[in-house]
Amino acid sequence: MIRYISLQNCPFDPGEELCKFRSESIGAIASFTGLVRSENEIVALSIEHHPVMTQKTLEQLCDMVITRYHLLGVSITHRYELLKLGEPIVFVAAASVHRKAAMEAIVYMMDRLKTDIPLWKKEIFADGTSRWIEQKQSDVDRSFSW
Amino acid sequence: MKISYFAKTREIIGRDYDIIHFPTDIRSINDVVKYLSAKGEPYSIAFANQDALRFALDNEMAKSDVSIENIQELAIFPPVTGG
Repeated sequence: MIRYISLQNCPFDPGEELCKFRSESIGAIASFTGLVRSENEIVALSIEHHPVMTQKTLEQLCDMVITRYHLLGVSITHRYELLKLGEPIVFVAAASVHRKAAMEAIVYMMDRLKTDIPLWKKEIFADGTSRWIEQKQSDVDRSFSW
Repeated sequence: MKISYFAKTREIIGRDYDIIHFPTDIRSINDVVKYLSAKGEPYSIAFANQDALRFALDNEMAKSDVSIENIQELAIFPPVTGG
């Protein structure tokens, strides 16, 4: 079983993260990478986390998704502190025997990440001002739909 | 008890945490929020919309009506926006 969780304040390469899945029993790997995009004229993104709860809830999410989808491996990497435009914010990957479980697992993990994990995003603008991002009702609805 | 604040809540309060000895009639998270809000700003601003607050007791998410008995730390923060 591959179970990899990383909360980090430095950039990461999603390709390298994918390479951590190495097993002859794995038949499918699905992954998702979320990036900082240039929306609302932001120049950077800042992410705050809860030092204890964030790690703990990510571990619980991994355990839950492994059981729910009978996965052979799961990986979650999430950034915190300051991120530049274009940098990866989050990477999730799931490995399974067949593709359906892996693909459904990453959708489930991302929906849970949006509502269950203590992380908070803040938009940073060119003039030095900033704004906390509010939770979207659509994210809550998706999370409750599982 | 240690009351920790995160994200927007932390910014409004102006510090990471408070250490507060509550009167014995403060029994639940709701009681804590009402008690602090009654002290005025910045708590009254930070806690103005309690529906937009989330809570954790000793690092476990908790509903606002849960007892704080034997709890070391209450964390107060806005709904999460990770991913």
